Amino acid sequence: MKKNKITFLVLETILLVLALFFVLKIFDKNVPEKRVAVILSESGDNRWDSLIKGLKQAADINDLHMIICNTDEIDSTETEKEIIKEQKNNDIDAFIICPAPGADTEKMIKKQCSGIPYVLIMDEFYNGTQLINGKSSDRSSQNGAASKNAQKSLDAVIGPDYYKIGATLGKQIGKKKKTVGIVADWRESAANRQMLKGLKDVLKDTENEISWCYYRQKGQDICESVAQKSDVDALVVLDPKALEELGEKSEQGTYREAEIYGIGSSEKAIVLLDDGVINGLIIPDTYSVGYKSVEEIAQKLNRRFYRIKGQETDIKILSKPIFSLDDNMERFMYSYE
Amino acid sequence: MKNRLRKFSKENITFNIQSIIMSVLMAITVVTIVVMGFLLYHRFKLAIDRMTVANTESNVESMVDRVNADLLDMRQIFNAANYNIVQEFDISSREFTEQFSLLYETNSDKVQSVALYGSDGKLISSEPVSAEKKIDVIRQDWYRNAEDAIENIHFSVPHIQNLFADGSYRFHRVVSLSRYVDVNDGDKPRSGVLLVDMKYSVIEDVLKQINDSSEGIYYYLISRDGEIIYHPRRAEMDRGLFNEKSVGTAKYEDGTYSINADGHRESIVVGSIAYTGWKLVGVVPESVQTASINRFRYYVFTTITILLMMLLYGNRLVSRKISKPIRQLEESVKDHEAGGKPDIYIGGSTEIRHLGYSVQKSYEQIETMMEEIIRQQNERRKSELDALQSQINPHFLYNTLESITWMIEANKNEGAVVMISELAKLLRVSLSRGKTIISIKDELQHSRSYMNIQLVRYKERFKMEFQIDEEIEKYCIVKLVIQPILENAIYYGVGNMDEDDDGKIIVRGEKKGDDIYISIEDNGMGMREEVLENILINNNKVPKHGSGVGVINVHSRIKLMFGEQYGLEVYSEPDEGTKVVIHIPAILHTPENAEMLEMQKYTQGRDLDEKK
Repeated sequence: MKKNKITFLVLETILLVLALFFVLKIFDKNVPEKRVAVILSESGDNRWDSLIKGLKQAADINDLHMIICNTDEIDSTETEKEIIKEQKNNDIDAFIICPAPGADTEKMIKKQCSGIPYVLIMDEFYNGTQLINGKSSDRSSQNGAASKNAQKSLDAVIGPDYYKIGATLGKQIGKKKKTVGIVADWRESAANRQMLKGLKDVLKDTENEISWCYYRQKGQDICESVAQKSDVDALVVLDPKALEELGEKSEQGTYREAEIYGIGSSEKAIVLLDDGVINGLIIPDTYSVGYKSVEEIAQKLNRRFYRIKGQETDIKILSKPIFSLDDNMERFMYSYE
Repeated sequence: MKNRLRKFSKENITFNIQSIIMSVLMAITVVTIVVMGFLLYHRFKLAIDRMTVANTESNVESMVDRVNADLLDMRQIFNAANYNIVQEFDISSREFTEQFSLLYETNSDKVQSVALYGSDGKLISSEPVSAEKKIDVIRQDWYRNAEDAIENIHFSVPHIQNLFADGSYRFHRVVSLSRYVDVNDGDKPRSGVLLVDMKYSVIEDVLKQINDSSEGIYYYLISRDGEIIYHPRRAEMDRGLFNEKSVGTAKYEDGTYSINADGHRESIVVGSIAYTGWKLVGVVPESVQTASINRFRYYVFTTITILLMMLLYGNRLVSRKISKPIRQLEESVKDHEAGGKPDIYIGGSTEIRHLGYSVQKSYEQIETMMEEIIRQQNERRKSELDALQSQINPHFLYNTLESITWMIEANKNEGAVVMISELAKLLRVSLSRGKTIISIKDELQHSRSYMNIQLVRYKERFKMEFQIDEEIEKYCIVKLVIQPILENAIYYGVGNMDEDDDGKIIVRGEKKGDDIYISIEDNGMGMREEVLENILINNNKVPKHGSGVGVINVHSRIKLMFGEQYGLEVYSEPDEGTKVVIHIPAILHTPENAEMLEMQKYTQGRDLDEKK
């Protein structure tokens, strides 16, 4: 009889636990969506349109609540730190971060995002080595703390291969002897460094000659700055905003004497290419960057022990002589409209 | 192994009646609830699926109407441009330009541009006025389609319009409506192609709006060839992140279909757009149906689980109620079997009460029968003892009387008197008022009388000696057990010995522990090993003499009276002598003990210790 009673009690307990489990499941849907904060420099800028499309689409599919932080230009680690802190106070579950320039960013993000999943997009952490105004400046030799960061970061990064972008632009210029001027962003970022390296590595094997390399400072009129430089046969613009500005001026007749090559991230850059203002254009597939970053974060949020994987996204290589708005290009344009 | 398992299953897996009733009830309950739950769930799932699909059908229908209305507007704009402007006014006239511009201005929310091209592909007029790009329009699809079928307005699939540079640094995605038209160019009749580029946003906005508001369900628009016109996940499709089987879907007529897409079932609702052959498709993925049903599924599971809990409790109560009288009956039967004599439980339903009555009656009958059997067995033993006893008396009398006769004939009257006197004592003990159990003292008296008679008869050729502890005389013994052994000792031992041989019989009696040992030892010729082996087993293999009543007789009587552990032990060596030991329990000779022994209450010596 005692055995019967024990069996009965065990069965009742199991059924009770099951009932509670199912009741919990009924109310499971009421659990709020996970919140993911996206930190981009100048989040309202049109260069992020495609990326934000990708973020939103993936967030919708993965039932995530996406918060695109309204930011101005993030030009320092401190600025990004403040934004991250602010978002942490908003009970954010994960971060998608485009790292701010500067060698301290890695340390700051790792500290601030301790225990919170995050993925880096578009750029990796700057490790302290950068070319400034054409001169190599190894910050690691000047800064002891930064030397620790000089090693390759193990953080997952989703973005294009910037070395390849630089190298491809170098190949687009061709092997004939040309003088080349380079316009790059002034900020200390790994993307800049790698693009420059890729470009220089390719140009080194040709008859082309780099006449100057100009790093655009914040607020500077790029057209005016470049006009003060010596004339070149080819202008390589590694800053999308500078490319658009230069392209616009070029269309108005200011820089027609120089072939323009560059990296773009908007419809405007493609229009300029189509209009023949730009000769060569590389467009990173930022839609994929946004989409894949959210997918990785969603996986991490759903599976605690999932390890976020970095991914290299495609780049679109456009060249005026062979450019046409074919079906392929038209389809690609959907994410930029 | 199989046998072991079978044995295990047969021997170890036993269930009580409550478990069986409960198991059966639970099995029926579980099966019923699960089947009912499944049917309910299935029915509800079908209803939800149908409702979801019906909603989608309704949405598709309303959207088809809306797209149809938009496209009809566009056709009307196109026809207005064709019939009211191009065919009405000379292309070089001011009215033409004004009307062309007016038409565009009026419909600029839907129209990206209006253009008239000549049959040579040269631009005749366009609105809004923009710089023309160097594009060979003759090669463009919209132009070729217009030339191929001149009677119809042709709708292109969405594409980027790249005819004019408007300085906005933007590409405009449009759906081109084109038709071969007659152009008034002065007196010369000309032909050309009228192009009205509809803004893609006209379609996009309608579909985006419905897609944004429908969770999980999505709608897309395809051409008759399955080419995507609008899809909410277009960017993903272009990057291979999502796949839509639009080409296959384009073959479906209007209606609802259940298809397999990449291993998942999904319902699609197809609606055709008039004139263009486009198809609007609403897709209800399996995941949406699953999501809708999931919560209900948990409701069903919760209900089933709570029902099971309640029924488990109810079934337990029912099974306990049903099995309680049976268990009580079983317990009373077990108590009865354990030796107690409680009343058999009589209660519960009629059947159980009847069963209780039957069991009680059976037990009563068994008890009566047992008592009867015991009584009969006692009687049988008694009669056996009596029969054995009766075997001795005539034999002994015969021998004694023969000796007395012999003495009288030999004029040994004194001896005869002694013998008759001893015989009288002997008979008194023998009779013992019919009792079987006498005191050892009486038995020894009997033995002495017997031996005195025999000594006279054998002219005292041997000697007789009793070495008895007086203590044992007060204990019980079966009467006439020593005398037959003495008789054997004489006949097989010392009876045939000469006087010079110093024949001697010694009777010893002593108490060891709880037992009494009386030995009769002679120094006669002893017996052969073969005889010794059979002397207590087989009467036929033992040479008979005198009365023919052997030691087996005595042995049996002692065993019958006191139990198997008692009886005789015989030790003999040829030419050395024989020793017979009578082993009996030490039971005080009291009237009560004697009576109980007579009644065989002391069976197998089990209770003797208590009574001592």
